[in-house]
Amino acid sequence: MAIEMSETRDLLVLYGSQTGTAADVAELLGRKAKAHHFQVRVRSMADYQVTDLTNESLVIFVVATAGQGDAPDNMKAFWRFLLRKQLPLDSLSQMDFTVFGLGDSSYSKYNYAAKKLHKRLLQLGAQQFYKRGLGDDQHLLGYDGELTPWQLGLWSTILHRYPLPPGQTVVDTLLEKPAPKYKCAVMAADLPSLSPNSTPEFIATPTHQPTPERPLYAKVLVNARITADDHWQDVRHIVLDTPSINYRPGDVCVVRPYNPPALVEWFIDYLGVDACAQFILTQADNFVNFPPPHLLPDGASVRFLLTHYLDLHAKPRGRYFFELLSHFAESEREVERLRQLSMPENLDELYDYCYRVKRTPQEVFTDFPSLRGNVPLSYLFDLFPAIQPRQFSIASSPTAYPNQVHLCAAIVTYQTRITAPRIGLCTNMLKHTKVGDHLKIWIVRGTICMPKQNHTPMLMIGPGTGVAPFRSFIGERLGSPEQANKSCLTIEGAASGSKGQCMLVFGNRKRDKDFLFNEDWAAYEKSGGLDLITAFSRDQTEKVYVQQQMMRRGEEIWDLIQSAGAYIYVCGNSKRMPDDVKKAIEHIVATHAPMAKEEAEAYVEQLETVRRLQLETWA
Amino acid sequence: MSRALLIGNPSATSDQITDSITKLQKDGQNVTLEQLDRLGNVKMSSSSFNTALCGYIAPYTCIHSAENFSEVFRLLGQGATLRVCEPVLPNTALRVFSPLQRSGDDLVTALKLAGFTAVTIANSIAPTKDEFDAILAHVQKTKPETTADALKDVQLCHVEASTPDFDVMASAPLPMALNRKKKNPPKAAEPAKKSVWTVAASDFGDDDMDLVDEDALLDESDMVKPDAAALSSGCAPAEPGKKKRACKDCSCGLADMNDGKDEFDGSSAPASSCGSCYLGDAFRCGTCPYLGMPSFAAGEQVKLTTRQLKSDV
Repeated sequence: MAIEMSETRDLLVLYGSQTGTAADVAELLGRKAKAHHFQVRVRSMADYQVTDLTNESLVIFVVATAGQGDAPDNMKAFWRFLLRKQLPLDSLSQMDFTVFGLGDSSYSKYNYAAKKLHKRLLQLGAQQFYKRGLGDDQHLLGYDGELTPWQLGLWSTILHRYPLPPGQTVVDTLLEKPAPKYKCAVMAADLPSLSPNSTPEFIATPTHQPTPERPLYAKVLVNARITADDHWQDVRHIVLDTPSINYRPGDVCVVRPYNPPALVEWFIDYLGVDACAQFILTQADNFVNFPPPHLLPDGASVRFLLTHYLDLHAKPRGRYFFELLSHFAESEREVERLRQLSMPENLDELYDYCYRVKRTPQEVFTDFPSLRGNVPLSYLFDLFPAIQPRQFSIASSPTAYPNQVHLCAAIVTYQTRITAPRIGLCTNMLKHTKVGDHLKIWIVRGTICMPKQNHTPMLMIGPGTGVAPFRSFIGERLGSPEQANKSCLTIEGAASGSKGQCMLVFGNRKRDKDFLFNEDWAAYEKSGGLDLITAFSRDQTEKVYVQQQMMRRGEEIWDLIQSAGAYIYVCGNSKRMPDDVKKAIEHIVATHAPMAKEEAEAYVEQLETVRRLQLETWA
Repeated sequence: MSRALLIGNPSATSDQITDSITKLQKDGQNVTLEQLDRLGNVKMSSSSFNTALCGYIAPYTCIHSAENFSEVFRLLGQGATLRVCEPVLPNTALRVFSPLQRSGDDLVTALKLAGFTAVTIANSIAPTKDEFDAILAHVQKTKPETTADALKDVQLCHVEASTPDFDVMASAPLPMALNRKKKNPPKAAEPAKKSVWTVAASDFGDDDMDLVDEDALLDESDMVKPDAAALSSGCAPAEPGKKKRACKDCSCGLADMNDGKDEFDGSSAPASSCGSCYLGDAFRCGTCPYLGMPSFAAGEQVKLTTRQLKSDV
């Protein structure tokens, strides 16, 4: 009698993640697959040999979409490979797949990376075994709004196609505590203990360009508030000492933040761990990769882990956070409540309790005091994501300020129903940095860059902190404000013909409260090199915005675009401003060209295609 | 009330239009009139109608384009009905002589291509003398040389069709794909194909490679963004009148009210005797005045700010 071979139950979860959310979702799906008795690997696309795809039988792709509809950084090489025309169209016919995308429908290119990957995989002959799911940050429940219902269908489809081996049932992780992804063992106590703040770091300034693996420890030279003290928003001008670092105007400085020391101490006390102890990570299976050593070096202390690796401030990782905690609470009332919060049918309660008010993990732990001292170190890797670096447009020109990088950062703080204010991890770290402290930084290319020709005029629209890269552009053309001040005394400074005109459109709330870099612009204006247009929305009863001020100067702007071939840059908050400004430009073109509305739209679109209109926006 | 879309005829007189509208209103329909030549230029949201009538206004001279049909399809909701009346020629041989471009069967095909289902010819009859003259006059507007003889076989064709009862772009796994039994363990791709991948990988990072245009991968359905309803599905926190959560040892009557046991009169509610207020937000009821504050020791006096004392109901 022939014995039927049991099917291999291999499942690969591949993710492309920009901020870590897709990695989170991938791990969550991986854990669920484990509960369905699959052999699971969860990998970032950057850590995966793309040619192995021709051997995979079952793959779930989890893909985030970055800024302008692009593939996330750790997907880029993988994606370029898949796009090659030489790949035979049926070469992935052995593969069953599905895709879950993570996007934000307030951006125009909503979930494009996931949608494109989905289409390309179909083109290459892969079979879609379950519908594509698209998570949306604009959903009241975030990506969970789609992920929860999508998963229900996913697992029933998978069970139908890959029935469980006889005698096995799906593990209910609510009843059975899941294994942690790493085992974290504290090393023997006789090892020399590290002093509380000592971390296995590497302060030496690299002689090469810094990278995420080897960041520069840049010394803080200035940390100044540049909004009025009684203004609601704290905006900082931070000057970093960056010898031997190369960048160009428009580039972006990436900062790796760490948790506030008080928060770290709170967790050390709450968890009841020995902060100085060193630990080693091991793993039962091949589920996920270890954290890279540049983020979590061998021999790191528990305090290092809690300060520099785990994001103690991140919003709780969905229902799983509460499910996991329910295994560690001792009080029955707390266990019951944590379970309730983790059930898919109670998503609205979880939303009300946690996400709507932006509750922090610390506040959740406080609400469940019987967790104190009962959460094992190993599970912290499942509870907290890794700290993600943050990007800031560089606000200085390398020519005007050699060996320096300037940042212009609005400190994030706001109020919800919770009495204590909400704060942003990185900007609050910046707020509290003192002169002489060091920040871990490196540089990446921005999406905008200056015109090749020095005489091409630039029209720069940068309300709020969106003005940052334009301080770099203008400095590159006109030198530092001090130099500009001097040159206005000489005749040739005022009429330096070889330099193209700079027109800056700045907007904010109030002229005397948040007119960022006010004095710099005044110096440039005096030197004759800068034409400044401002809009302060709250200085009069009627609100005035940059786009209205632009339309008032429509004729000049049209002349600058049409006759002088100006480049146009728009930078700042992505909510409404970029669309409003684009419409204003279309309006200017339609009025002064003059053109029909459709023609003007096509004209502006053409400007964008040839990169004479460039946008850099952030949420 | 059922919503009907009536497609107007540019050649119709206002009396003819009013006639048709009145007829439909008598049937209890909420009628929206739109002229054929303005379809697609006026903004109307998808799935707004249960019925659409094309070519139903005398004189019956409208010829509908593929674009007209797909726009009507968009405006109709799931499981909606469409009725079309068009002059057609019984056979295709006459087409060359006439701007009438299709037979009844061609009309059916055009509707199927636009996405309609259950497309059937209800009847096809010869026009009356008046109708024939109107059709001839209409045709002669673009082809003055057309004679009555060339149109002698023209018929008015009535077609009925409906839209599918699933949403456009909705997806459902095919039962066939689900049942596809894997007889053998999944086969890896053939060696020849794998080698293409391997060879390709040897020049990994080569920027000059010929790549598929990634933007061309997307079609129109991919440009669609979720609407407001989809963004709040699964939760309704902002809805007024939503049930507030009662805390575990509810004593204020909220739990009873949620269970439908009792009519609850808010005015007689005791301020707080549930014993949960001192706990964290996770355990407080949805109307607790202490929401947002950290937990405190049982029995401790805590001062509330004016913001917290203000009811948010």
